[in-house]
Amino acid sequence: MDSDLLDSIKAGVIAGDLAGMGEKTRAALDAGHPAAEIMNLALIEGMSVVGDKFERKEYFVPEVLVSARAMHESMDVLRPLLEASGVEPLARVTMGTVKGDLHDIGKDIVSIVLTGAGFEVQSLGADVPSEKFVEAAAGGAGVVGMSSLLTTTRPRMAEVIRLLEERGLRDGVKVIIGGAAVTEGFANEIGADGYGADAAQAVRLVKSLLGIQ
Amino acid sequence: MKLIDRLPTDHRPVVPLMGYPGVTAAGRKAKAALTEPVTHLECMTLLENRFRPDALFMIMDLTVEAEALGLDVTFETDGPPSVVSHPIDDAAKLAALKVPDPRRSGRMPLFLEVAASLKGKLSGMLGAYCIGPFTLAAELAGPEDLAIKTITDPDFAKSAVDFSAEVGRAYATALVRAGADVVAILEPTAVMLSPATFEQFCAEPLARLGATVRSEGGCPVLHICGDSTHLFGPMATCGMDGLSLDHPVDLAKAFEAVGPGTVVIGNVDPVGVMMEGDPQSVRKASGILIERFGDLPNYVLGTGCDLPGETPLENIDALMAMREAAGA
Repeated sequence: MDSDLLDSIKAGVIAGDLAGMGEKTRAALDAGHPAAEIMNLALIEGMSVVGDKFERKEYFVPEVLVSARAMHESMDVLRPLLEASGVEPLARVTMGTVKGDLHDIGKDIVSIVLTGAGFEVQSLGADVPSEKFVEAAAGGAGVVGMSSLLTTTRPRMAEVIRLLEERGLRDGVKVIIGGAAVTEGFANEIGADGYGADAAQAVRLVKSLLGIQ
Repeated sequence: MKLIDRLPTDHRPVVPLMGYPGVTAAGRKAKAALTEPVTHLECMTLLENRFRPDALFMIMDLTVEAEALGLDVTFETDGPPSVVSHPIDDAAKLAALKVPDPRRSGRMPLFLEVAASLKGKLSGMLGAYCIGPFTLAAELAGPEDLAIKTITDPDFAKSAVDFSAEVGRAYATALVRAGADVVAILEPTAVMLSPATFEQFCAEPLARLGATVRSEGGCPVLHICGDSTHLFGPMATCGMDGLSLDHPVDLAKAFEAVGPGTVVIGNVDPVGVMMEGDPQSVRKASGILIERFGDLPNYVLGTGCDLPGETPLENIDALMAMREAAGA
């Protein structure tokens, strides 16, 4: 099989080339590449390169966001096929900014870099009611990540952990936190499993909590 | 006069950004302080009487300009308010916006009134805030959409930032005329840009805004939150009187970038030290800064960013007490 198509999709992700991603993906499927292969060898590997460039400060937030958008153009084509084939990701991570806090970008960058590391990331958005994080844990998320940029909203993180305990879900899920309003000390104080100061730290943290090399 | 020439010479200048602890100490709600001039003034008076900082900044509010342009704002958390949605997503909607008259738009008149009331009544300078052009453009268009458009639609991004600079120039002019000595231009959203993108979109509009503040007789200071180290080069070209920098950066690199005529303000950790710590940890963190930079005439000890309302006042006392501490 011709792997030039996969290389071209991967290059499109790295370059944030939005035009033609859907077409290239359909062409790769037509050429016989399974959806999971396209996802793993083109999209995730491409996003992994993007994540590395971000950590090395070759890429900044705009470049990462455009690459993620290019990846999603392709994923929109693949998703129905992946769901039908029952391919399992490394783990599911649910990410959101806590209730009352409308800051999106930080946790979105963490989500994108986690995607590049092979995790399936469910984004709950910003201003997320505590109950939604608990539902995600009940639905099988291995990791719940919460962000707060306003100190007035960080008590919500402790609330989520308390709710997880009350529902008997706490042992089955790792809770990580980040954002300008929180610290390592606060993570310990509320009984979170970890704190990440940036996206690269968040990936290392998730891998170490889940015992993934 | 430039900021460096207005700094006190009989003690080390100390300038915490402490509006919200003032709100808490006054037993008020953030919404009241940001909608009622008399309540804002009460918080300011309390801070002035207790701390006598070398510059007293009004309560930080990054929504004033966006609200004056018609966007919805929420005070839900009793902390800093937020812009709820970001509807200005194309050139036609942007073109329909007009630069608001600060004397009669949204809550801009409140800040002008408070500045006028405080003028000449403080032991130090009076500080006001004005949103940076890129940050206001991000409030208008949405931060992620604007970030993406710096690549996919640079003409729109440039127009949005340029328009936002004009909003800032009108508001900052009014603030200085009302009595502000220093205008801190808050540009937190720009921290996500590469140096090249910052130069492409932010440097000139910031320089234009700063020049306006100076031409009115005020001192322009640029504040960017988070780790802005990669931007020190282009930030230093914006013609500011000072840079106010957050706790993740090494101020030594900022001093290298700006040269001796520009003030560097910072950068005690607002959450990890000022809010979560005690007076001892504040003395330790600020003592390290003073040991490193205390003998530089362009250094002002301050907090890396705006202090949360939950910050204990004793911790701010400990920071203020460093004004008497010896340098290296």
